Amino acid sequence: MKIIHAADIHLGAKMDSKFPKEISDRRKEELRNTFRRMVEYARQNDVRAILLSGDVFDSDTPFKKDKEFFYSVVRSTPEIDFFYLRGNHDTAISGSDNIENLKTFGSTWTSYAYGNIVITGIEISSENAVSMYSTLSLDPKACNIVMLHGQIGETAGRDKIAIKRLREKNIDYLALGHIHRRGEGKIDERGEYAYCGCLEGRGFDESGEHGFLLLDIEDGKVERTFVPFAERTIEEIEVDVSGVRDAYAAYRRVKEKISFDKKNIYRILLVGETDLETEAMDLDVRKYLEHDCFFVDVKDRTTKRMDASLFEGDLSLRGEFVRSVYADPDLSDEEKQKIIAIGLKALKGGEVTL
Amino acid sequence: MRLISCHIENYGCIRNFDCKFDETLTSVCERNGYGKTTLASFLKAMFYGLDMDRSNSAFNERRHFFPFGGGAFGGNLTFEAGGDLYKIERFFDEKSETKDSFVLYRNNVPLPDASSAVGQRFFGIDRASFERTVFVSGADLKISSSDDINKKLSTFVEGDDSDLGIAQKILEAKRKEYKAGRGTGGLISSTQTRLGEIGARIKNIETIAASLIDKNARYEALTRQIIALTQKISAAQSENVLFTHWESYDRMVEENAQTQEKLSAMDENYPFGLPSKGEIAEVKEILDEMRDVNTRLSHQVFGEEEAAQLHALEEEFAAGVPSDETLSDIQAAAEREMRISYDLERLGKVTLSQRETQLKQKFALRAPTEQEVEAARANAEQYRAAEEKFSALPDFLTETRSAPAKKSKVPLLVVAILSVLLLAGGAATVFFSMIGGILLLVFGVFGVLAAGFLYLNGKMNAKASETAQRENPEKQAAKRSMDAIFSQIQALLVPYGYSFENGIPYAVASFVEDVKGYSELTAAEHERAERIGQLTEERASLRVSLDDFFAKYSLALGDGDPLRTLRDDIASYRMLSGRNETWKKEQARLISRLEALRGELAPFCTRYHLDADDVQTRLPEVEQDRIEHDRLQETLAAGQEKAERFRAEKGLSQRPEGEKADIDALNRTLGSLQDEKNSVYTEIMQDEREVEKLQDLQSEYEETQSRLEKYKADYELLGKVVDALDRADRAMKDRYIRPIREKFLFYATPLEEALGEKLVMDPNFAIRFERGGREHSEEHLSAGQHTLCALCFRLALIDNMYTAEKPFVILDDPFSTLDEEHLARAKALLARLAERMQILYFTCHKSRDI
Repeated sequence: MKIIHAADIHLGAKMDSKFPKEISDRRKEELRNTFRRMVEYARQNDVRAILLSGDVFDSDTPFKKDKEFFYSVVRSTPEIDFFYLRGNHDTAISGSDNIENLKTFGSTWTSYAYGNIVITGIEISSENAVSMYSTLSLDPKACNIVMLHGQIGETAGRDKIAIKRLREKNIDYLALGHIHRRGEGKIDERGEYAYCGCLEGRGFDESGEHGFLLLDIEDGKVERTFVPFAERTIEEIEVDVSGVRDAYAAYRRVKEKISFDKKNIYRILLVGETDLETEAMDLDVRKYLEHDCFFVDVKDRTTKRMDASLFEGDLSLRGEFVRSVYADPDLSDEEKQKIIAIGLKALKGGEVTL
Repeated sequence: MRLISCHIENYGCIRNFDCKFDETLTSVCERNGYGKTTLASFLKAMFYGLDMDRSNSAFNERRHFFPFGGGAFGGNLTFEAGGDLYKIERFFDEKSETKDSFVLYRNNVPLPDASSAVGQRFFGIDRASFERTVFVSGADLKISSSDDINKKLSTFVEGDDSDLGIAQKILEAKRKEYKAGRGTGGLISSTQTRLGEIGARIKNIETIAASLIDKNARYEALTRQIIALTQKISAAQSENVLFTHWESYDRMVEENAQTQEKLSAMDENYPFGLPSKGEIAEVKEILDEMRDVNTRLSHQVFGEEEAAQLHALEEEFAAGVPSDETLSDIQAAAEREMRISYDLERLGKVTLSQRETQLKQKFALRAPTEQEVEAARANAEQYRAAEEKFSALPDFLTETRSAPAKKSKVPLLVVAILSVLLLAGGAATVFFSMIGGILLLVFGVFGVLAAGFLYLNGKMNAKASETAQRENPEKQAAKRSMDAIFSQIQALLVPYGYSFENGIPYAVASFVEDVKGYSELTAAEHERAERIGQLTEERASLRVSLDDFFAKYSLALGDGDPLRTLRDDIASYRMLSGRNETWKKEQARLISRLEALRGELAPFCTRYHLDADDVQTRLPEVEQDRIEHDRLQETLAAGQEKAERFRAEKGLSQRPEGEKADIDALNRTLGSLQDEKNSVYTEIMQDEREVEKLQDLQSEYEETQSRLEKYKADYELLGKVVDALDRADRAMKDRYIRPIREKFLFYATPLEEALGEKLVMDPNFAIRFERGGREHSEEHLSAGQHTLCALCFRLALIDNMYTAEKPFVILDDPFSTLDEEHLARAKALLARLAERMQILYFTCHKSRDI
């Protein structure tokens, strides 16, 4: 039996504020479409059930169009059962319209059996966060899949899962949600847990590959495979541009280092040390790169190379200025660099850019 | 520090040059091009080296002073500092400073680790600062006001490519971009405003988003209510169907009761019963027949015209109607009379043919006799015989003979004269007797023709004599016979108008034939006249007998066809009198039948108490009531059957309790709930569209906030830059410039002596001088006095800047603008100053030599 383990779809979620509106809108559509594609994938690959381990919606009051979209997809795929466990974002979601193939959970353990395979889940709340461990009772002879939404750790609590307390509970696979990055580990000798991560990255804090886990259960054994499925990958990459004198040189460095994929989203962090007089390069580099990918954001995090000794013998105001700034204990190094760069440029009568 | 000596191996235009410097004032007075600037550059190069020659630099001392004549590029400089004797030995590469050689000796001992930045080591300032301070040219001392002094001082401390004033203006302008000096302008303010706007919109939308919870709850509640109400309506509709069935059943029962009432009312109207359809039908038949009989009785057999006609005919035939035999005889007589009339008319209207008419005209005057006809026929026969004879004879007899004797012309003349007389007599006679005239004319014509013949015959005889032929005398005799016969014939036929164009036989034959035809015509006319007489007599007799017969019936022969009229009258009389007899018999039969019918009707009237005379009037009503009664009975039976069947079909055993549900009201409630649901849905959709903007607004808020923070940070940074520059400026002033005033005042004493005025400097470096007990602005100083003031400033600066070793000063012909008086004062001043500082004075003119 094949099962898809997905979580944290976050339908209706806000995208990264760095994305322009058109990109943001496009990504919202892609988010929905990726969910739809996943269901289509399931149908084409004889998947019997899809586990949604929390946060299908981004809020308790999702937009009607998102809600209707989700229920419409579920309703139009009767051959697949959808196990919808509410997460911390969509705790109070309601109105499932009694769809037969939509299986839900509550504040007590609920199980659904498919022959020897039993899918069990509980929605963690403040009330059951501690007691749920003791109330969990699974048939040792069955292949037990448990669904939970929370952060695994040492302690139990709202959105927290004390992984140790799930040991020896006859869990074969713990399908987790809440953490948007993929992760896995062992529960005990018998079982393993896994975070499938979110389906699509919504911002630069959700960079990397995203998709779902495909579980293939045979003779009680759960084999899982990660299926990259996101429409686009978000990548954050540092590029050392030390020594460059202008944005174009920095752009060349970036191009040397990164092989851009047209459909992906990138954040490029320009790091390293540049000359004091080198201007901020982020805007220009971003402009140069905008046709290489779907969207790119560039941050200039380079530091300016400063040598105070160069100004030791300068008895002019310039020397005095540099020396006094360097000597100021209240300024950070970054501030000193900026102040000196701006001051020297102003003294030369040049245009000051920030 | 004091320069002692230098050796220039090769430097610019100077080669192998040694120079010893005076401890105080070294004056070099040489022409232009001697190498004063080169020497000054050499001294600087010894302390600070030479910049690498970059091909793109406009001016480069290494390139400029490189000795193109060859030889080592450099030399040495010996000086004393801090009590030690130093010697700098430097040689330069043409381009790169890395290939330069440098050795610093202290007390004749080389310092192996000594930096090539000797100037920095001894003076504590870099090359640019050194260059700006120890080199004093004339231009450096060209000032006209204390503003110029300040500017030069600024340049002196800020460096050539730095300008604090401009920097401050740039920074201030930049800061104003962020925060305007006044009002609410600037990026920070506008961004804060925008942030506030976005924040307000976010709050507004958050309020909307919060309200969505209630609206969604309301939507869900409405959905549940609608489902429940829909189910209730469905159940009520089922129950209402039962109510409706009972209502239908009750309606049927009610209708049946009404029908029964109508029947009862109808029965009350007929206490002796309502006649059956059969009875009514029978009575109807009786009444119909009675009506028919009465109609027939009242019917008139004859019209007035026919009655009058019958009366007239009875009078006409009062004496009896003539028998058919009589009528046949009368008809035969009438037909005979008509035949005779016809024949008489036909005989009276006989017309002659054209031939008969011609014959009558031709022989009207005198008809030829039979003898004349025979004579003509005989003449014609004779003529024919003569003609045959004539034709058989030859015309000439052939014989040779001399010409005959000339024939006499007397006969010819006689004939001719006779003919003329006949013509004249004929012409004269024709007026009195046409026939006689014509005959004479005809004879005259013949005579003329005969005369002509004789004449021509004579001529031909004459010619024959000439041909020696002789005419046949027999033939001539035959000819004369023919002519005589012809003349006879002519005499008979010409008066009747016959011609001989077709020959004499034809004319005679025509004459004979015409005479015959005329004779026959005359005989036929006579016979017809006799016949007309006989018929006229017979007709008169018939008319008399017929007139007598028709007069008995008031008819006359002249009134058309009296026999036909009589026959018609007889036929009409017989027909009308027959009809009259027949009607009298039928009338008796009808009266008898009417009585019998009344007898048949009497039992019906007795049974139903109806007046026999009124039955006719009332029967339609009774019949209508009978029909309606039957219909009502059928309706009642059918209605009762239908009601019972309906009850059975719908299973109406027990009436439902309560009242029928108001489905319309429920539907109205449902409609209003659906309307409200739609309205809530619309509101939710609208709100969600607004709430969807929240994310964008939040992003914009974050971005704007981030921008605002950056603006604030930038503004703060710019403030720090301004502060740092101000601090540096103040430090510079504190460290270098403010002491200048004190130093200036120090130098002012010898300067006062040089200028002859008492000098004062205010805190802003404005120079004032006392003259006549009053302070005056430095603007009243001369150009020379200004130059000396500037020199004092420069020296004061040097005093302040060079805290370690006091440098030497190179004055490159600074007093070129001074007049003799001030130059003398300047020289005195330099002498005084040289006591404190080594001075190298270059001039190109002996007048300015010191």
